[in-house]
Amino acid sequence: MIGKLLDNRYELVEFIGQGGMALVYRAKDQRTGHQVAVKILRPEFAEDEEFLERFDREAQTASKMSHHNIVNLLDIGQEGELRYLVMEYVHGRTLKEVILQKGALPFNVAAQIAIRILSALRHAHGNGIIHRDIKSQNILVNEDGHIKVSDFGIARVAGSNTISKTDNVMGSVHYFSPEQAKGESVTYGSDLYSVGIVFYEMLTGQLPFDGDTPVAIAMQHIGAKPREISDLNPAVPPALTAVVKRAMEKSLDKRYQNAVDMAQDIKRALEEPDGTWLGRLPDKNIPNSQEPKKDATMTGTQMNLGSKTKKNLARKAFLVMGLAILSIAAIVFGSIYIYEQVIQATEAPYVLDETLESAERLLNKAGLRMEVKRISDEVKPVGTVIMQSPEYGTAMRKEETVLLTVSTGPESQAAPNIVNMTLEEAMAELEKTGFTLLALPERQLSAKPWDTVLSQNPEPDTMLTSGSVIQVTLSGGSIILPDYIGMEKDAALLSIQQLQLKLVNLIEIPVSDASQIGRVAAQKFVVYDNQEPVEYQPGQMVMQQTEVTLAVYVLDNGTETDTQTEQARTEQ
Amino acid sequence: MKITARTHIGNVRPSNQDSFLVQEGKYSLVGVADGMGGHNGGDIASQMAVLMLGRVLEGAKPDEALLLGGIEEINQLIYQEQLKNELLSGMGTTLTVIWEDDDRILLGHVGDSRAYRIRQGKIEQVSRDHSMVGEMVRDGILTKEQAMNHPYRNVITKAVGTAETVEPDVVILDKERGDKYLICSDGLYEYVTEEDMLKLLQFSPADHAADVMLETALEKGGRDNVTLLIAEVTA
Repeated sequence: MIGKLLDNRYELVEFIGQGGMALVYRAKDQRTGHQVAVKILRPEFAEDEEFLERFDREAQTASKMSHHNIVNLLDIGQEGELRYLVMEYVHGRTLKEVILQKGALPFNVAAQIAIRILSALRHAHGNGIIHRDIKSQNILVNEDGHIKVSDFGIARVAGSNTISKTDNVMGSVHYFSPEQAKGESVTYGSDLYSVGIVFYEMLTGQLPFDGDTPVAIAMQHIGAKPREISDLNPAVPPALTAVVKRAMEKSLDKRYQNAVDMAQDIKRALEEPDGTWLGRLPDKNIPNSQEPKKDATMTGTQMNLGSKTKKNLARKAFLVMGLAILSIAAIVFGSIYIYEQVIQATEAPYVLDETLESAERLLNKAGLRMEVKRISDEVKPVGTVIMQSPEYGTAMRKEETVLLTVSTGPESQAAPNIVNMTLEEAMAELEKTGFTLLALPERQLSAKPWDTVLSQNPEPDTMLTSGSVIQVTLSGGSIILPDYIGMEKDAALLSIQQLQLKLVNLIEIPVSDASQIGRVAAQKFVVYDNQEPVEYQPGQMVMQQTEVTLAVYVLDNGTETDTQTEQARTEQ
Repeated sequence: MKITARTHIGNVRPSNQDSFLVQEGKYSLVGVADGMGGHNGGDIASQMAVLMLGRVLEGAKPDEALLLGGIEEINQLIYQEQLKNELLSGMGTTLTVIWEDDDRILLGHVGDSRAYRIRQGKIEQVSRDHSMVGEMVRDGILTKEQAMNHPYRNVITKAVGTAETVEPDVVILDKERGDKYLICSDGLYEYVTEEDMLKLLQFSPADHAADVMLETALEKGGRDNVTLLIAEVTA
C-alpha cells in the first residue's frame, strides 16, 4: 500500500496503525502538500452492507463537524473496493501515553485539557453527535500542546464477536458510564461521565476503576466509589475535586447536564479553588450573572460582556489561554519550547464571509496556515468562508493551521434545460452542472434528428439536489419504410445503411431461376413495443434502427434438397 | 442420537465463519463453532476447531478429562497457527459441543455459542455464555432483556485460539431418552426466543423446527451467520 496514490491525490507514506475497522496511514495530500491521515476500511468489511451503511452514515455525521479540538474529517473517498476517510494528521501523542510517562499532571494543566475536551464535545453535542468512546487513548496532544479529540462518529464494529482481551475493549470499559455498562441508551451526559474519568486520571495518574476483567470494571462503574482524589494528589484544590465528582455521578440527573456547564465550573474552580461557591450548586448561570467580578482574573468565557471591555478582556483571555497552551506543551515536551512559543504568538483573524483568497491573505498576514473543507450552503456564495476554527481572537502560534469551511454553493440547484440538445451535448451539460443522465433513455418517433433530446424529466428549472438523475426521451428519428421486394440485394443493403435501419438477418433462398438470383425475395420490418415485436409494412413511418430481415434468392447448386438458410449479422 | 443441522451465511456478512461438527456413532460428538477476527481467519479458526476436535476424540469413550484436554489441545494448535501466519492474526472461535456417553452427556464449551436442553416441556440453557453481558447477567448486574440490547453483547471473554491457554467449561449432564439438545451460534438466539425454540422443538419434527428457526432468524435480520444443530437422544 505504501506509495499508493488514492484518488490521484493522497499518497500513502507510512503505515501508522490499525483499529478494529481500519488501517491507518500517514499520507501526503498532493493538492495541498499537507500531511493527512488516511483511514482505510478493512477489506473484510468492504462487502458487509450493514457496516458500509453505518460507515457512510457516520462519516456524513462527522463531516458536519469542524472544530479546532477535534481531529477533523477532511474528505471521504472510494477507489475501487477501497473505502477511506481522510482526517487531519496530528503529530503528537495520546493523552494516555503522556499520563503513563508523566504520571499525574499539574491540576491547572489537567483543567485546561479538560476544558478543551469539553469544547470539542460542546460542538459535537450541538450537532447532535454523541462520542460514546471518550478515553485518554482518544485524546491527542500535538507538539504544540494542542488538544484534539479523535475517533468522533466513526463507525464502531458491532455484530461480529470480539474478544474482551483486546486493548480496545478493555480501554473503553475503563471510561464508560454506568448507563453504558447497563446497556441503556447513551446520552450527552454519558460523554461527560467519561470526561470525568479522564479528568480523574489526569489529576491522579491512575484510573478510578480497574480490574482484571471488563465485568469487574463495569460493576465498579455501576456501584463502587472511587478513591478520593485528595488522597492520591493533595495538590488538587477541593473545587476541582468537586467538579470531577459531579461529572462522575452514577445517576444521570445528578451529573452535569451539558459540556458548557462543566467547563464553566472548571474555570471557576481555578479562580476560586476553595470551592465554597460549590455549596450553591447547581449554579449554571455564572457568565450571565448580574455582577461581573472586576478584580478577579478574567477567563475566556467571560468575554461576552460589553464591547468596550472586550478588547481588554480578550487580551487577558489571550494571555490565560496562551499560558495554558504553553504549560500543556511544557508538561508534555519540556520547557525548552516556551521561549520560542512566546515569540511565535499570534491570533486568529476574522475571516468569516471573506472569499477564500482574501481569507488566505489575512491568515498569511497573521503568520497562519489554512486547511480548507468544503460543504454546500444555500445562502453563502461559492468560495466564501462559512466557519472558521479556532474562532477569531484565539491565541495561536505562527505556522499553525486555521480550519476554514468554505461554501460550495447551494446543494440544490435548478435543472438545466437540455431539450433539443443532442445526446452528446446534453451529457456534457449535465456533467458540467453536476447531474446524472439516466442510462437507458427512451426513444420516440420524431421529425428531429436521431439522438435529439425531446423532453426531460424533471423539467428545466426544477430545484434538485446535485447529482440527481435526469431522465430524457430521445428522438428515434423518422423514416418511411421502403419496399425492397424485387430490388437488387446490394441496392437494398445500401438503402438500409442510408436510412439507418438495422439489418438483423439475411436469409438466402436457393432457386434455379437465374433471373431472380441476387434479388430480394421477402422483407420483414420489426419494431419493438415494450419488448413485443410489431411488424410494419412499406409506406409506414417508423424510427431509425428498425430491425429488418431480408431474404434474397441465391443459385441452387442442386446438392441440397432442403432450403438452406444462413444468418448473417451486419455490423452497424 | 439423531442429528439435524443447518447453517446459513445470513443476509449481510461476506462469509460464513460458522462451522458445525457432526460425528455420529456409538459415541456421537456434535457441536457448533463461530469464528471471529482476521481477514479470513474466522472461517479458518472455526473449521480447524471442529475438524481437529473430531479427529482428536474420534473413537474414544467419552471422558471429561479427554474432552477438556482435547479443547486445550486444539486451542494450542489454532493459537500456534495465528502466530505463524500474520494474515490469521487475531483469529479465534467459540466452540460448543456435546459428546454422548452410554448414560450421560458431556458438554464442552468456550465462548457465546449456546447449548439448550429441551426436556418435558421445558427449555433450559445448559451452557454459560462466556461473554461480558453473560457474566453481568449471572452477577445480577443486568437483566436478560438489558443483555439482549447491550452494545457490548458481542464481546466474549473466552475463545478458542486467541491465547496460549484456555479454560473450557466441561459439564456432565444426565441422559434421558427423548431429550433434545439445540446447539446454536448467536446469529440464531439473537432473533429466536427461547419460547419459540421450545414450541418448535416440542411439537414439530426436528427438520421442520430447524427450517423454521433458520427462516425466522433470517427474516428478523440475519445480520450474522446462523448455525443450529438439533440432537435428539434416541437411546
